Amino acid sequence: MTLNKAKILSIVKDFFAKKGLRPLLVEELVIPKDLKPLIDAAFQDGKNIIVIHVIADFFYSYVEARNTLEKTLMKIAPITAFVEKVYIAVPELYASESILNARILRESGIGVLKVYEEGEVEELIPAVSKGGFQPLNMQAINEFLERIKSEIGKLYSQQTSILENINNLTAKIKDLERRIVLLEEKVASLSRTTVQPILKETPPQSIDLESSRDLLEDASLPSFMRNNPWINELRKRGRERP
Amino acid sequence: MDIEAYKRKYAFGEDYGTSYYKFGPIAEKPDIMENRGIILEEKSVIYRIYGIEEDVVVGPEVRHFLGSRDEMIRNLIYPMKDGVVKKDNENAWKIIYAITKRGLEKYRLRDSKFDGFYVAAAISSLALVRERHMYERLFEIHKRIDEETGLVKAVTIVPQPLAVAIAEKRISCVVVESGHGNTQICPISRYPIQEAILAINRGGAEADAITAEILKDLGYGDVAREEKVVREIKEHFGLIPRDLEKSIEVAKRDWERFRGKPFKKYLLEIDLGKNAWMRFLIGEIIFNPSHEIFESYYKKGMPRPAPSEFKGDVIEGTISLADAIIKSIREVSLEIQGLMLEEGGIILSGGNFSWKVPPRTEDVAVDAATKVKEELLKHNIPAKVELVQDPQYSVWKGCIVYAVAVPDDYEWNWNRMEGWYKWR
Ligand SMILES: Nc1ncnc2c1ncn2[C@@H]1O[C@H](COP(=O)(O)OP(=O)(O)OP(=O)(O)O)[C@@H](O)[C@H]1O
Ligand SMILES: [Mg+2]
Repeated sequence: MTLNKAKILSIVKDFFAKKGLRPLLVEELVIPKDLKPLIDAAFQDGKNIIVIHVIADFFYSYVEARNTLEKTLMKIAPITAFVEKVYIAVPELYASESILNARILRESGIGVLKVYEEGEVEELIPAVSKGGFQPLNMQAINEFLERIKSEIGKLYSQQTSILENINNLTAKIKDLERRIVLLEEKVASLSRTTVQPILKETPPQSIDLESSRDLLEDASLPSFMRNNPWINELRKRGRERP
Repeated sequence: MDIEAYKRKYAFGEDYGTSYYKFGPIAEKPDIMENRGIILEEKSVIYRIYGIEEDVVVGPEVRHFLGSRDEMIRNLIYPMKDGVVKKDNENAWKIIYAITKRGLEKYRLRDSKFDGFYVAAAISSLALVRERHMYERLFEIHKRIDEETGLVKAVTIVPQPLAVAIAEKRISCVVVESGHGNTQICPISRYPIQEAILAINRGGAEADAITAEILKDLGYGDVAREEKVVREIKEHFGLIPRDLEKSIEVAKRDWERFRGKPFKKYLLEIDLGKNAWMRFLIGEIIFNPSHEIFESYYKKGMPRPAPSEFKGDVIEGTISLADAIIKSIREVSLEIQGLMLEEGGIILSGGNFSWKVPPRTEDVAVDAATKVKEELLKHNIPAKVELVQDPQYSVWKGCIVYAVAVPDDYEWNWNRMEGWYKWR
């Protein structure tokens, strides 16, 4: 009889049940959604959570087996951040040194269960808890959130500065438009004065005119400011006592 | 740079209107933002995503927070009513603060010489007469914004009608400023003549109200609940009649000519068809809301504009505009009356006077200036009446001139209500 996935799972479940561990539903685990499909079984041992990933593929060569297992280990390694112990369950045939990458196993803390066709299980390499998963978990989440926040912040300030640039450009265009209108007015009035050389307009008020000539006639000012008698009127405010 | 040159470069105008806040540094025209906001109940992720630090949302983003029609009606706050922010309406002041800050920040300059704007803010002349707390609050708000951002070097406050006279280059005149929420009549001769300032609690909002009633009658009840769309429909259809009865008669007979283009917006299309004569109701209510034709609408629940007070007397909110103008001018000495009516004239300003006369309606439709002129003539008062070039922007323009011209060393004077308020 060959070891298929269902068979391995039932052997592993018996093994843990005999040890007195309580089986858990994968859905109950508090871990990121995208990691859940990698878990085939989960158990609770007191406060600790133990999860199993089953390797049940058939490999044609040792090299293929080794490569696939490496990839699998890399994929499930992140789970160690959320639970105490992570195991892979491997059929006896592949539970050899030439296939299992010792370095990755050591660094990730993932343990190996060797499953025999006869229904036995050997804890070939014990899983190493990375310790205190709750704080680690929260910290990871917080760091993640911080990163997202700072990214959003950056994007927001970039957007603001783009908007500002657009505003500046719009203001400049408006200003240019205004200047063009002024120039047109000037050209028109020049052509008028060549026919009619005497200026009909009389200055609105003569007091204080010297100092405010600049303001009254400055062509770069908006039209509503030019020749505005209020400029002289308001400039005197605070100077006279009622 | 000498200080006056600095002030001229960094003048900033602000016009606090019931519907729109007009703001911006020296230019031909202001920037404009709706005077409304949302106060968020609790800090949510949305804040961070939008980079909002305060719990108040103002400006174009308000739209992102509006969902259903009901939600919109529940959460949106318009801080001003009839041109005024009430003293203890803290939520309203929060929004005024946020809008002011947003406006100033939009024009922050990177220029190394920039050390804050000289801000001239315009508010209703009612504040001068009765709501002085608005001065104190606005000073405080600008000071706080400066402490947070360094954007305000000094601030002054101008009554809106005075700003109009300034923008229109008239030293003596009668300004009639009619925005969304209030209409101010203010004779001016170098200063606003305080005894003659008459404000009525109505404006474009009343034309919106009659438009909403008309929409309900025509079967657009749910559209009638959306303030902003009603306003657009009003602006699209409203016409000022030269003479209401006659205009209605002509428009009923010749309805195709008055029908105008249908109003279209997304899924909505409104064509008045044979009801085109109703367009004249929208324009007339601004000038004569006490006309008997409006009685049935008031009875059906259209709110009557609230009464106001003038020299100890109650002024009905529905007083005709001509009567109100006459009441105000009566308070001015005869000598100045002549100067005002003949030389300076009556100046109409504010969005509520921006009505157009579409082609082929000229026989019975008129612009606001003609309407006022003819209504006054019915009382045997000949007057020069003019509509300003940019009705919604005149106040802001006056603010800019004011900021540039009032000397920097003139400190705010609570008796004369002018000068620069400073704290640095
Ligand atoms: N073309 C138009 N025809 C008719 N009404 C218009 C037109 N354009 C703007 N309005 C109306 O003018 C009003 C807004 O004008 P304005 O900006 O002067 O008011 P405000 O300053 O917000 O209010 P207030 O001065 O009363 O506090 C609105 O009621 C708007 O519908
Ligand atoms: Mg206004």
